[in-house]
Amino acid sequence: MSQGQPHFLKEPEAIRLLEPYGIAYPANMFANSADLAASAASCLGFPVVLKAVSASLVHKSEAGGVQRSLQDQASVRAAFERIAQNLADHDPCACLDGVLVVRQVPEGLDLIVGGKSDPSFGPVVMMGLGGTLVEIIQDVSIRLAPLTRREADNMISETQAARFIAGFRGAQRLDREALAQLLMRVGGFLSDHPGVLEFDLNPVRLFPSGLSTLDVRVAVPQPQRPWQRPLQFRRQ
Amino acid sequence: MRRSILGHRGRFMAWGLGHMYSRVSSFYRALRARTVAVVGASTDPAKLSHSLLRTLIEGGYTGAIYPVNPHAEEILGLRCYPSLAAAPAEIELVVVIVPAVAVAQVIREAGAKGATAAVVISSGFGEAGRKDLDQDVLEAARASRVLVFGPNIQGLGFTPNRLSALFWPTLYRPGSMAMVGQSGSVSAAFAEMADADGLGVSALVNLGNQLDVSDTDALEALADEPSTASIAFYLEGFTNGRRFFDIAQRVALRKPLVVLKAGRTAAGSRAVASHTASLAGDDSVTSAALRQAGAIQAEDLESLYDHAKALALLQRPAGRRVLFLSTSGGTGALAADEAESRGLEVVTLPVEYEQAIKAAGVRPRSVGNPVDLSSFDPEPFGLAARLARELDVADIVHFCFGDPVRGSDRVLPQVANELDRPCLVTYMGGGQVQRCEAPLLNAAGVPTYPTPERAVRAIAGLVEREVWLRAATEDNPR
Repeated sequence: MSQGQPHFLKEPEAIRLLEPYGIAYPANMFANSADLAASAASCLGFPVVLKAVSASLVHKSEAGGVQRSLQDQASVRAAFERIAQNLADHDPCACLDGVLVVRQVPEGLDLIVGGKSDPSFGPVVMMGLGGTLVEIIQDVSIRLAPLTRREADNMISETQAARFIAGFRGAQRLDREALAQLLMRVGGFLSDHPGVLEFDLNPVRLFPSGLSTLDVRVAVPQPQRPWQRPLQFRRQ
Repeated sequence: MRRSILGHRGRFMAWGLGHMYSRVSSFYRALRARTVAVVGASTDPAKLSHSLLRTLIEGGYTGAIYPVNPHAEEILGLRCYPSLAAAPAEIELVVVIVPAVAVAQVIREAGAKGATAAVVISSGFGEAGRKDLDQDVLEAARASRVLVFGPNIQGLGFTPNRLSALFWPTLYRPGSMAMVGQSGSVSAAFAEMADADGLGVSALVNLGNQLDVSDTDALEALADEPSTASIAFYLEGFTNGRRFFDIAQRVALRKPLVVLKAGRTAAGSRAVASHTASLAGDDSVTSAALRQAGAIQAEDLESLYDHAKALALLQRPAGRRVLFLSTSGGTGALAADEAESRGLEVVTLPVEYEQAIKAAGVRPRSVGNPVDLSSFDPEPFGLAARLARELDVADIVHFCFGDPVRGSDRVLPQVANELDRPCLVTYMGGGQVQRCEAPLLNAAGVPTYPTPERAVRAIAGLVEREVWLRAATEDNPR
């Protein structure tokens, strides 16, 4: 396969890919119209978040493709229209497949868990204090996949996140066990799929009990169309 | 290591690793070659091929040497042969210093003569844009079952049989550190450092273009090499990082590895859209991988040598508590500072220890850690160290000598033997006495460092390996 620009899977595809590994994602449904989104939301229970699903959109929130804290059906319908409008303003050629309706989860500690395929070492797992500040803080630890339980534990201890998780300044203790499990599962996923070029769970929200993945990004090599492949002639 | 009921070869076959057996064992036999031919040896003292032959003879090689040169009768007192085929005995190792275009033919002849391996010194292959010659040599090597070191290397050295097939340095002293280098000058510098310290190397393997023998082959072969206690690597890149990691993880369980990785690559030009790819750069992945595999990552050439030395000479520590015994304030204070910052425990000494020292007739100036014995006599140091063992106050004993301590080479090795703990020395400001005694201490198995920072860094490496080993053996109990 060509190693050109990475191709980002759409979020529902990425979620489907991670499902067998038990990587927790909040209850979600795909909807391709405002009405469907509204009924999906009442099915899932309010409040919900709407996220744009589009092949040409990599950074959703920068394009206004994410609408949070929607409390009722009317606001969901309005949010759908807003997303469609924002996307059209951002990139006139973008094609909106629909939205992913996701049940909103409470506040917690935001982390980043990711991975990539290193040209020399193969699949690599990374973890750090996350959210939008991750690239400023640069506090990450790295291991080669797959991970043992101890390596996952050491990974957490290596970053400053360990202090938050242990309950910094009287804050509540967070679920370290769940995070270690997640790291091992991500390690398993990456070593099963060596074709995954880049992989981000950002943020992963950690609670006193359990955790939730709020955004999944999976990059694979650009699929080649038949006419892009070099011609091959059969040898007689 | 446990002996397999299947024997050496059977072990490989049973794991389905028959294809690897021949490479590792060829490597092993190449190091132990009893006959060496130098193809292209020159009569002109200005040429490298002449100085290589001289190094080989000066090193005191235990086997037979056969120079091959059709235009000479005799070189450096050795009879010269017109071709490999004309040599009177079976040749086990062939050193090749002929123009690049002729190398493939020499390897075919070597194969016909029954050679195990060829050390190709010649350059002008892939590095000079001649990929076709690479291909020729590789084909010849595969067809005639000859293992090829290099090409474009400085040579191969192995001290148990005094083989120094290098243009320099001559390996006079046998030792227990093996050095594998992608650069000839770095591995030569390593050997020189060892020599200056009264130590030696066990093997000096240059990788060069890594046409055939790669970093992982050297790692695998040296892992089971009985003369080698620690393996140092200087690498500019991995031929296959993942394979190196997998093998290193197994090897590190029985032998310490130290890796100096040079050439931090620039981030790829590809626009990076995900956070992970931008945060997990090549360099951070390399260090993470090395740490995970249990290899110690060296910061520079000096620390590569320091770590290799400590890991080769010292036993495993039981913990991270360090006791500093110093002749004067300064050395001990610097060492303790460095130890703190490297995550070692500068242990607080119990009152009983102070009482025991004083009862034994030693008059220390201060008994905090570092203990300032303000004495230039090795006996009180031996006494204080023995008491530390009796009262179990520390896991590692660090003697900090800032002055000449006459007779330390007589006392300390014996103390180190009794201590049952790693014990090492910083020796500085010792003038002529130090110059004379430090190599003797090293040779007697007490590693000696010229600055406290370097000594403490070596201790930190020792502890890092111990932590990894314990975790690894708990995860996979035998």
